[in-house]
Amino acid sequence: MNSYRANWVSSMRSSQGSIKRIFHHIDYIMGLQARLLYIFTIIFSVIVSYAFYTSPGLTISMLPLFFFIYAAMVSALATEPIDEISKGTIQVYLATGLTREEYYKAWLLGGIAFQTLVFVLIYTVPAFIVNPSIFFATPSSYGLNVPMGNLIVIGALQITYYGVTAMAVGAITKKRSMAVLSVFSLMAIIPFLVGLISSIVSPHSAEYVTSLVMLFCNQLFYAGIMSYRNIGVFGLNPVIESIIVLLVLNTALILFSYMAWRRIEI
Amino acid sequence: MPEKPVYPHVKLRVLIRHVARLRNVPSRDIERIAKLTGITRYLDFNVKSLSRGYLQRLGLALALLGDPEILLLDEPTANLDPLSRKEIIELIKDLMQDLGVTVIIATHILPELQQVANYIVFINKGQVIEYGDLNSIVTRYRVTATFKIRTDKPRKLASKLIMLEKVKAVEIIRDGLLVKATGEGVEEIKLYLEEAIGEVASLELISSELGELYEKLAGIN
Repeated sequence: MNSYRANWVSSMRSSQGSIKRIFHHIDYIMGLQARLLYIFTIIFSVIVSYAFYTSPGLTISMLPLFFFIYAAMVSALATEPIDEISKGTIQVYLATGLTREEYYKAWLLGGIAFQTLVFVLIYTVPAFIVNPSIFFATPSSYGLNVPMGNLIVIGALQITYYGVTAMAVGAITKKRSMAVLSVFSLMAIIPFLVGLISSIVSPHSAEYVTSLVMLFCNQLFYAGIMSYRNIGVFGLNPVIESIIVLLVLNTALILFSYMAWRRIEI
Repeated sequence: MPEKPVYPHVKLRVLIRHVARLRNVPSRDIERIAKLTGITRYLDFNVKSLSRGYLQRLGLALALLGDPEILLLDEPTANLDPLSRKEIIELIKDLMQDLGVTVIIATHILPELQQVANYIVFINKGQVIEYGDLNSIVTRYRVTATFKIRTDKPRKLASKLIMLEKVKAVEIIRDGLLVKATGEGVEEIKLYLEEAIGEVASLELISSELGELYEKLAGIN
């Protein structure tokens, strides 16, 4: 019994130390790598705060544009570990007390999860201050029929999706360019090409095929396009479909990239 | 300490502080370690502005955070110019003396190793071919070595020793002599000293031709 307790105390201490190291590394890497993202965040939060006072509808409709800029920056940040592997910088961290798992978790939390939270806060804090009912407003006059709250949830999950995709592809190919290309492919290239090809090959099913691809590649667009129907490709509400698909994809990709990072050769 | 680490382009202080936090070392130790490794005045410099020699010092500083009992150094003098190599070897010697830390060095540069090593493991094609106290290995394999002889009459002793066939060189130093002799000559010198010279206080191995020793060992295997 005593040895069981001793083991439990020892493992608790060890995991406490591990969590501490992860947060120290997050603090360190964010101070070094995320400067551009912070500058963009500050500028955009000022713009969003001002715009919520003057034209809330326009601010909500700007969300997809802001989202794509932000997602691209987070994805670029998520590929930074690949750069550290190719340069050899990672050896310094791994030789000085950080384990591979801690290194991966620090980037996952600091480079993706924390940035996703910042994205959510940029929109929600000014909206709460100006008028919380904005969360339920739909900027239909600007071509979107999805409430802002839903857009933010999908956007946040999608940023995570692109970030983890970049980390997973980077871990497999060890090439930053491939990781960035994979994210841009999901964002725009694949949906565009599939839409183009299916409209030429099979015009009758083009819309269905494009929507299906959109659901797995660019959920914010999918929710926006399908929002006027209220029924998605699987017969559910398009917002619900997007959230479910994103949750499944994110879980699978996080597990996959975690396994890939544990085995990566340095 | 990795052989060829590529450090991030940050100030030395930032990197050392980060590693200190990872190891749960108080930040006041940063100054102490920086002083020990001779990088105090570069703490606010960017890593990219450092020479290779100072990068190795930085590597040693990072390795020393948390006062480890053992330091494992992989080719600490690789890719360094002769002056920097000498500096790093001197630094390792000082650290061994000042901190009492055990240093394990993996290297191909044997002449430098003999300045700091007292126990050696020779590995050839992945196999351990010999190991043991440096002094006893040198004596056993009769390789050329330099000994220090403490004496208060160095000139008299030097004039006699230089006449011995196996002695290659004799140098008078402040508290005695440095005698370089071939492996076969070691026993002859010892015998001579025991029989002829009563005032000799000690015979201490200073360095040996480890390259020659390695060649002998690799040849045997």
